[in-house]
Amino acid sequence: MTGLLAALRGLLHRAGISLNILLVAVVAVAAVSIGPAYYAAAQSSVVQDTVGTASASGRGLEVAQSGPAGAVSTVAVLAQSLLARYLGGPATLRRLFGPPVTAAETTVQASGQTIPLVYRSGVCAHVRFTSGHCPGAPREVAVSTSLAFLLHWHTGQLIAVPTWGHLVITGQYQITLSAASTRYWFDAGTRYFPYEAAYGPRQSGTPYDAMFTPLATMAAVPGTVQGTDYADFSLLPAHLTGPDVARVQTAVTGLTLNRELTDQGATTTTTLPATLGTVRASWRAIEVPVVLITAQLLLLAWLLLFLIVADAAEARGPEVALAKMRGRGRWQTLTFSLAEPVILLGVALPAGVLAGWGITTGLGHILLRPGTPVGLPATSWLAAAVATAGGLAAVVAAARRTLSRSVVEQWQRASRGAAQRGWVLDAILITAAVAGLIELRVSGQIGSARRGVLGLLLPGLLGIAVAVAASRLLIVACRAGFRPTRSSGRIGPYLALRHVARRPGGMRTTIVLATAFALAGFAAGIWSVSVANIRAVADARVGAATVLSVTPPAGHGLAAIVNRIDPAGRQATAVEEYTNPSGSGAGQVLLAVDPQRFARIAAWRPGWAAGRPLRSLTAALDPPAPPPVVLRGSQVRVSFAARGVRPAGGTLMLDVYEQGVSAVGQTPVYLGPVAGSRTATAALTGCPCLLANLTISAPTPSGPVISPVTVTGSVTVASIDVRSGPGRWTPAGAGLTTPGRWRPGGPGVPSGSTLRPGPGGLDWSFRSQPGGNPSAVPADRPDPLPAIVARGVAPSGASVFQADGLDGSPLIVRATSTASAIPGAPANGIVVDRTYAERAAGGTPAYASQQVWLAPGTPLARVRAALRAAGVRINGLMTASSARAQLIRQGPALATVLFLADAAAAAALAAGAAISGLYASGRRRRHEYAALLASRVPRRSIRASLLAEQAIVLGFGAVIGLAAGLAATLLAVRSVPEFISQPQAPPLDYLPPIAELGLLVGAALIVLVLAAVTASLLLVRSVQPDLLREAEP
Amino acid sequence: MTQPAPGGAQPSASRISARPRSAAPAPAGQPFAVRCDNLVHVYRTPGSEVAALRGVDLTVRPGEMVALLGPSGAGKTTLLWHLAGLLRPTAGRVEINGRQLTELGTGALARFRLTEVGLLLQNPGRNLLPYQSALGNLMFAQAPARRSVAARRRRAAELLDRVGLAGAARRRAGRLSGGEQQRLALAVALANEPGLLLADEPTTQLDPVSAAAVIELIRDANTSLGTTVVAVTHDPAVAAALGRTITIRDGRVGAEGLDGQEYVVVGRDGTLQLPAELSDLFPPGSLARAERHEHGVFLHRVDPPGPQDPGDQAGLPGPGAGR
Repeated sequence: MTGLLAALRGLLHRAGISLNILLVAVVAVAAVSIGPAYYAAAQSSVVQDTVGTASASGRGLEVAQSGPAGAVSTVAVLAQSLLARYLGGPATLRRLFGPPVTAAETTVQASGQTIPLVYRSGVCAHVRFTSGHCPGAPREVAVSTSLAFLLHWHTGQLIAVPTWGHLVITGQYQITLSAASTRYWFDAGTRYFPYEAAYGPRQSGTPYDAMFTPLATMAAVPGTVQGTDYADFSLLPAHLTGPDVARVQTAVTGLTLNRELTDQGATTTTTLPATLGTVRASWRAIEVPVVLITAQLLLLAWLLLFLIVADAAEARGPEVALAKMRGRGRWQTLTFSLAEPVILLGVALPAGVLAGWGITTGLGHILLRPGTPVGLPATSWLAAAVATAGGLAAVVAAARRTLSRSVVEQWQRASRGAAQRGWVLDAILITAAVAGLIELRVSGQIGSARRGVLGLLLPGLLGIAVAVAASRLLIVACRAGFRPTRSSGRIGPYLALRHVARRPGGMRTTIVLATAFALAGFAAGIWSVSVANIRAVADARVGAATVLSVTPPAGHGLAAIVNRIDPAGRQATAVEEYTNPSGSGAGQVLLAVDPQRFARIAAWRPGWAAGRPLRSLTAALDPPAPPPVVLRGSQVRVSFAARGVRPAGGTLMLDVYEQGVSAVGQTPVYLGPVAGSRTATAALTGCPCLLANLTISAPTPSGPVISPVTVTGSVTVASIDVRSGPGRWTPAGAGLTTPGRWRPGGPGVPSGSTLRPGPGGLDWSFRSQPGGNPSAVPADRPDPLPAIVARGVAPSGASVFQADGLDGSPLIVRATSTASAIPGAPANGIVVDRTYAERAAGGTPAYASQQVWLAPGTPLARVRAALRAAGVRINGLMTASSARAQLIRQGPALATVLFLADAAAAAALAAGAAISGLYASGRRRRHEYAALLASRVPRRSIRASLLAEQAIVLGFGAVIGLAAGLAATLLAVRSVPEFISQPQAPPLDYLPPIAELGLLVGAALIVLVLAAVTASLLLVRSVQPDLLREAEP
Repeated sequence: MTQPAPGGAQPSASRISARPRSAAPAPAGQPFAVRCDNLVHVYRTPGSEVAALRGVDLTVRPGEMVALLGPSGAGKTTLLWHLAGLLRPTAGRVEINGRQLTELGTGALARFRLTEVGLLLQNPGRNLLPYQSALGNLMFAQAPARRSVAARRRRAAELLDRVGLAGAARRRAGRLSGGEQQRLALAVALANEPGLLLADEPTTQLDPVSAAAVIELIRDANTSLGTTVVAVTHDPAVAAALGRTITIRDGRVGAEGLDGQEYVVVGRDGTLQLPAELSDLFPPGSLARAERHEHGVFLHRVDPPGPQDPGDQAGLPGPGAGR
């Protein structure tokens, strides 16, 4: 007790260094315990998320047995007992699985129809009764309102069932499609409610919805009636933790293969193993970063605790000598000398683990699934114990010294100087770092905890190896500075250099600082790369800060509405999107945009297009083109003269697009035979219409052998007029006499067709491809259409290729530029001008998805209100931030934040090391400084000397460490998983972003400098010449 | 021509005597408190060896008080540390109260330091735990001794009272003045009632009043407890108070003062160190002729043959010449 009190008094006497050691140890222990705790919590979060969003069969299992109806209890009881056995007991079964839902199904003949009769436990709580009540007695049933309507049944009615009597309808139920999809029904909703849920009540059709009845009814079913009994077990996601996955997997496998069940003809249906496979894949993706971070931190914690505890133990040499001098035995001396560090480490271990748990809980609240339990797994304690072992190793080394050194040696503190440090440690560290590099190069990846230990430790090893090797250079450099500083007459720099070169503590501080900064730099580098890539992927996937899926009111263009809401065009833009569903271009996404607005609003990284801004790409999308030919009226009149058209019997026709959002496809307008000079008139419906083309339709070939026909000849189209009702004919503005208004149409460019505008109209000479019809189309858009194309979309890298237009019809595009990612459709997007794409599609086809893209900072509420006011229905909303959050909830990104915590911990430990170094040498320094003061050396010179020394030690450590950390980042960053599956686009950037990294490093340096300067100034302030009266340490 | 005797006495030439000093036998039935026999200690550092003690022969009787004198670096402190069992001799033997220290293991040495030796180091602060109270330091010093806490407290109170620090029992040692710290350090050294008190410069850094108090305490311990005292000192007052002086020069016992008489000491190999005052007669490298005398030896400086006359003769009386 006296010894403990003495140790506590000693700790108080050295409050500064004691507190520093305690804080450093707590931070170190907390830092290393976070990873395992976070991993365990993330495992639970991932399993809960994955199982929670899985289908019924993906989160549970169904045991089914066919046979005589009514034996439901048998299979359920057996399955339940087997599950409990496989899971390790009924308590685990109750914790992981909800009470099983049991069911028995058969069919009865009633009113001449075959109708399912079903017992399902607790069914009445899952349907809504519109009349009557839940059946509770034998032979009572509830029927759907639809069935009652169809078969003219009513509540209270007796239904005769041939062969086994009658049933009584006690109530009628309704159920919606979504209610029938809940997990309670275990995918049986479609089987039970093909009619009620799908079509709603009082609709006609077959087959029939199930009649629900109590179990007692099934018992009354004659034994000859066959049925199927079910027992459905569903996992309770909120109760699942990481270790449960293996248990559940074992149970599912066991149940599926169980002989007892299979002998009874029971089958188990589940896709739970696939769900658990997904869970494991996610875990593996988290595992690497977690192990990587924890390994680095362990290395740093070990080094740091070893050094500061060794320093602290060394500083107590005179006291230990006193104890030995006073006749203390070996164990008493050991107890006396080591009690203080052991107490500190003993306190730091649980305190650090608790602090780590607290931090992990905080991280869990922010990042993990709400309600995810954060515990303290054994691995956290293990990591904490290993970290603390660094300090204990120093304690053991100090104990060895305490016992082996004589009292006189301890007075003399005969520790070897910095220069005498052996090369063995350096050689081991450098060898290990090189081996780690080779391992990383050979395997190409950082492995998990089970393999590639050196590769895993590479960043830390590299940091330490560089630190120990570079610290020798520092000594040499400082020695080289002795002579110049001595001759300069300024004592500050001279003292600073001597202290650095001669004091082992200075070198230790440099090594620890360099290692800590290497880890901080590495962690910050990985984190910033990861965050930047997650942001880039999220931005690219969504396309803009916010994307609203909308349906504009009929007859109104979305672009016009958006332009009214945002006249400046800096906040919102309308985008039409069409995804090719099939064929060689399956998955290609056509984005029809307003080029200028799109360039301002879409998420973009210049790196996606060789450093070019988006506006330089979109500028090529909308070259000038003549206006479209719009037919406004109820009749169209075309005057033309045909010459030598072969084969004879062809028909001149116009293809038009009716304008309006519901318009789909072209409408042909027949103008009669294409022969001689004539004026043809035809009715128009649904116009105004966009004139798509003028076509000569060849007559249908006849005869025993049909061969493709080539249509040749020429037609001069003199005029195209329209009128509404009986009104006057007015020119349609087809530009028949204007050069450049018409071009040959059809797939490809028919080589034999020419179009020449002249005073008499448009002279059209044509020669079609065999089997094709010649056509002339208004040149109201560039052909092919300019496009920005995602790299890899164009087949064989061709610049002109066929894509799908907004209406799904072929659209020839020309890639004016390619990008490694397209906003909104990163890997397979094609961006074209919306106006031209609409002209090509004849308007706004119903197939295309209408979207409003918003720039960052746009007030969403205002835009939504304005859109609603304009009659636009908002169907959905997607934001880049929510996409980021979604990615962050994935396994690898969950671990990314650990790198940030790692960087913070490393920086804190670095600051702790700096202060510790100062304190450890504090007593001796104060005596030296007191002697200098007594020798009339100005206090400011002493202050300058100490600050210069700190600047050298800290600056060197920080610079060397950061360089090593960044080198480690560049070497290892590609090996750290950032996504569960690597995105095809955008390309991930593995160079740490300077801004984020600079910010983090700057913050760490500020903390370090503040800590060191404050400690230095306090130290110098406390020095008085009177100190010389005290014993020299 | 004469070496001043410690304590200020100016001995006459006739009182400069020589004593053979080779582990003289103790009186029958009474072991020496301290006996060093040809004690050699060499400090080894990388690349060099420094002989601090070169064959010291020394005996101290129980209850005797001895001051070790000599210039800095002569080996006084090293000798003191040997007497405390803190160093292992390179050669020779150290015997305290009849126990050969060289034969004791680590544990036995620790027990020896606990029970038989009280050591007072040069700087008061080095003897104390600054964060412990005065009482705490005394309790700490007694902790290894198998005594009850109450007994230790009684002893501590008694010692504090004796050194005049009864009122400062609860004050932290680091906050006591230099004189108080030294008195407390002396109390700590005496805490386990050692038979041998070893003190290294007990009055250094102290003002005259505090120094006198410390000297008085040492004498008091000697007279009241019969404690043998060996003290390294440069302070003439301490040397005078302790009575017997041993001068260490170049790692050897060079001279001894006893009862106001100053003697040079003849080493076991016949060497003797002339007092510094005679160095003008026998400069380094000078030749001398030794001639047997009835009670000793005459030394005559002999100058090398040359144009000059033979030099002056100088003589030292033989053993017993001054008695």
